[in-house]
Amino acid sequence: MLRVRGLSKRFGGFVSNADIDLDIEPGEIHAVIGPNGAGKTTLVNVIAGDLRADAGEILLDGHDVTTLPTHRRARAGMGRMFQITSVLPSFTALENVAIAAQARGRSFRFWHRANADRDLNQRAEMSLARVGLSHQASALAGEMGHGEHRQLEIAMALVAEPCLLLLDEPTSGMSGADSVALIDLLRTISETTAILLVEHDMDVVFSLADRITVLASGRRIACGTPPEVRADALVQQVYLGAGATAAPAMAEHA
Amino acid sequence: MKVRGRVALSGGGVAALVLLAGFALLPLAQQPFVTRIGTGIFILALATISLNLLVGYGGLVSFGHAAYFGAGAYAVAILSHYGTHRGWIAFAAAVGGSALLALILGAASLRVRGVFFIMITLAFAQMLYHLSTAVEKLGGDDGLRVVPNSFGPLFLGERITLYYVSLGLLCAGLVISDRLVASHFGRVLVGIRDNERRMRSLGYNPYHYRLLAFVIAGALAGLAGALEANLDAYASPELLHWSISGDLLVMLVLGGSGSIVGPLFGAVSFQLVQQVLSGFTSHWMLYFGPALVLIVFVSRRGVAGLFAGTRPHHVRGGR
Ligand SMILES: Nc1ncnc2c1ncn2[C@@H]1O[C@H](COP(=O)(O)OP(=O)(O)OP(=O)(O)O)[C@@H](O)[C@H]1O
Ligand SMILES: [Mg+2]
Repeated sequence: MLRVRGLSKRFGGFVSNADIDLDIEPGEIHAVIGPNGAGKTTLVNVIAGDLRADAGEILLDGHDVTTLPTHRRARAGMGRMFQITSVLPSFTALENVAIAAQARGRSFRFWHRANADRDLNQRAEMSLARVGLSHQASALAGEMGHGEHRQLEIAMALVAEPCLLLLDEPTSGMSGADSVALIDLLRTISETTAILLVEHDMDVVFSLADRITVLASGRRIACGTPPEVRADALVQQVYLGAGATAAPAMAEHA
Repeated sequence: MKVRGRVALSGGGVAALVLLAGFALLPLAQQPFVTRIGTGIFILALATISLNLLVGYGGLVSFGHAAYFGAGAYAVAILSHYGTHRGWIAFAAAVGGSALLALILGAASLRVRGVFFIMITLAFAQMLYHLSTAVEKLGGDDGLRVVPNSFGPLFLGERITLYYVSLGLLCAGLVISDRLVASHFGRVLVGIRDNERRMRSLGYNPYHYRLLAFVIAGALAGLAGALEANLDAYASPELLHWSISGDLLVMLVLGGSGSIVGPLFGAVSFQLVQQVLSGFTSHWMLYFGPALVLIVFVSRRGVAGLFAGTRPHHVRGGR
């Protein structure tokens, strides 16, 4: 589904991603973890097209997308959720999702009220229902809470039926109950969609991921199944050595 | 607030309807001076509506809107110069010519952002201004005389006819911008204004939508320019001058940018203020500046914002 080879990204002299390889199979949930500043968000941005890679190549479904602009990659099936909430504040939740759904259809329509487009609204309602946000359908996105924004972003990504979903810390700021519901949802989604999951919560990572890639200082230091990664000496050293909040959780699962 | 197919009028929408109805009755007063000013207001309001599509809904602060307004006027004047006075042809040329100009200038201007965008739109418009003063065939500084157009029996040289045609086209402009903003295209344009990065990640190419908005706005401004040429019976370089672009922006901000009826209120208040203040002093702009700041301070959405009533939220919804 996704194949990344030798990917590098520098900011001035600072190397944020160095020579990274990553493979995501259809239906796989592939977690990317690492300490703060490891380069996880940078990697997602380069894959999504918001940042241009300095070196390396990115293949989506066998097609080279390394130089494609963001919107072309989205049309090729990449769905995205940002680490820092990114919604359309002056539209309602339903409209946010409908606009996302509309991207796959025809948007060069100038006269009919888009709000009255039954087909789009129905798809948007279904997507909102999937993430448990139906009750907020007519709330302005700009006035919703943080946890709801996370759900809304997922609804926006899902409605386009992507083949690859890029999620940057989807559960951050969510209540416990909501994140449990989200984990269930991700499991369902992964039956049809490959997922790249950046996540700090190790409970989420170890319960969901088929494989895990560990980044530290922009480099890939490990990649494998959860048990393999857990047993990896280098990984333990990075996490325990850094004294990161994730360390206890890692130990717990070990 | 729940709108399904039906139009829900906000306070501003009702006020606009009352205002337009008042304008429809105004010629009964039989004051040629009043009808002339009224026609001028309608034309400027129409041009401001078109600018609103860019600034208010597209988030694109164009400082060169006089280019399309003036181009529309010159299109009519050039045809008139060569003996074509038929309204359909002249107006089609004005609308089409301005749209084409907007396509070309927009394609170039939209490559840059922020302050550079403001500068480059201004620069292009000023280029056209200087071009118009320099080209002998266009009458140079003096401009070109225009024989008013006719649409069948309707002769725009008649004050009252032009008054009502302009009023009608203003109403059409309001309806068009209302529908456009609420359309599939319109909400993508507003979405891009709100959060460009998000829209890209959803699969939209902002450039296409902005360029199209540019062309539509250019066409509408060209229409206003064609009316202006008929009102003045003249097309002069003044119509291309940056001060026109500036006036349009002031009217937009004054009336309420990002509100459908804002341009109408803006053009009306601008003219009222100008007429009243210029009666006292020739330095009226000196007093108008602070007044404008005050109005925007009191109501961030301009005059239209004063009527907002039940919809306090956002620049998008006001009608
Ligand atoms: N646009 C940028 N310009 C300069 N440096 C950047 C930029 N974006 C990221 N960086 C740097 O690259 C490094 C990696 O950042 P990144 O956001 O990818 O980390 P992360 O793994 O997502 O961290 P976190 O867990 O805190 O989200 C950081 O040191 C950051 O300061
Ligand atoms: Mg990050």
